[in-house]
Amino acid sequence: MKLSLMSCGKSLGQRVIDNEHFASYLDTSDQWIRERSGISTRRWVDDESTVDMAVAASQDCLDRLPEFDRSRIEVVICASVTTDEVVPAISAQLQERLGLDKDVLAFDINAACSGLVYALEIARNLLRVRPAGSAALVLGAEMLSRKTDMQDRGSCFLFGDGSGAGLWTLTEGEEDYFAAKTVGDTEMLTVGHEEPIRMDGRAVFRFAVSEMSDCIREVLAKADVAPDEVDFYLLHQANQRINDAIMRDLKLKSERFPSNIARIGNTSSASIGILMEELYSSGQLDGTKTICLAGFGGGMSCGALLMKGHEIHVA
Amino acid sequence: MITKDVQKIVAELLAVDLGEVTLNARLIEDLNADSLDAVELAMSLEEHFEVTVEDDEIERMDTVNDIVDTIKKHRPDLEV
Repeated sequence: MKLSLMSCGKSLGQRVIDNEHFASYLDTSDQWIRERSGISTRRWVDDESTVDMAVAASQDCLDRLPEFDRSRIEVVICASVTTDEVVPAISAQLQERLGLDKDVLAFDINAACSGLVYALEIARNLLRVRPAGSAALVLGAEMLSRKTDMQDRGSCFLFGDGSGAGLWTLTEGEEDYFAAKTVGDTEMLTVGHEEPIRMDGRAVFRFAVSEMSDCIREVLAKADVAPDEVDFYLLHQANQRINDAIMRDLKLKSERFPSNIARIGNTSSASIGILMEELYSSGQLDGTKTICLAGFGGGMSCGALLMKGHEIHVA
Repeated sequence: MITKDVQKIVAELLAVDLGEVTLNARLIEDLNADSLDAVELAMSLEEHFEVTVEDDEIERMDTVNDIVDTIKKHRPDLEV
């Protein structure tokens, strides 16, 4: 059995923040930021909470399937490093705000920017032991503007706010392939309860390129799939330079690496879900596709999930 | 050949003509490299020459010749 996407939704911060915003008070420029990250704009919320964005993305996802029976949702997993509270979990609040059944298994996970990939692997395994036709709502929701040091000229331009949600079920077909790497490290990339995001940019770049390439190659080998047999690599949108390096490492062209970081910035665990929604909405996921999702983040964590012959499942 | 291989790696990574990658060419000033290029360059050198390039070595690599010297130090068995 394999994961099949049923629907997608997203929510973005309402305010579009361009690079001139940072140039107005820091020693930086639009060109400098674009050259180092590929980012031109990012989206920040005004007064919404992370939960508000999670609800909006999930509602968008479910609204696209008006005939879908929500009682089929057996699992809700939200990946986030910027929850509004420690308790209640975002996923628990989704149960109430989306009107889901009480017997849903709902919880949040924190695997930093690898969160959505990890959440999908968990959902895949949970759905295996649930009745046929069960569905999982899997999302990432982040409000990184709340955790950004706006005086750090090396990182403040990277982060945005958003949520990406997908509704998934299991269908007949070849199993999906998963690989993860964990390198416990307390210095490379940290976010404290009261402290903003701190990172050693060069070390993170090195980790991301090296470990994400390894994870991708591992799932390709497990699935016996050549790099150019994958239709789309949906990579965490952290920095275009990282994804370009992965692309070069795999000796592939950019058309297999959809990107929205120029417009949306780095939204941590929400980024892959937002990117997937854009592909879904534009019809690029229609038909049979082989898709590789991969992310890396603090922890340090890294993961890849390869879906061979994926097809959208119309409920 | 360390020198020729280094020049080829630098030219490919920084997307510049091989002719521009002279031994005296400065990575930042002449070849437009930045700090992330330097990290990626170090990773490419590590893979190609099977060495480990430390962060402080990356910081000291100002010119193409500095890169050649770094590799020479790690791989004295290779022809320059």
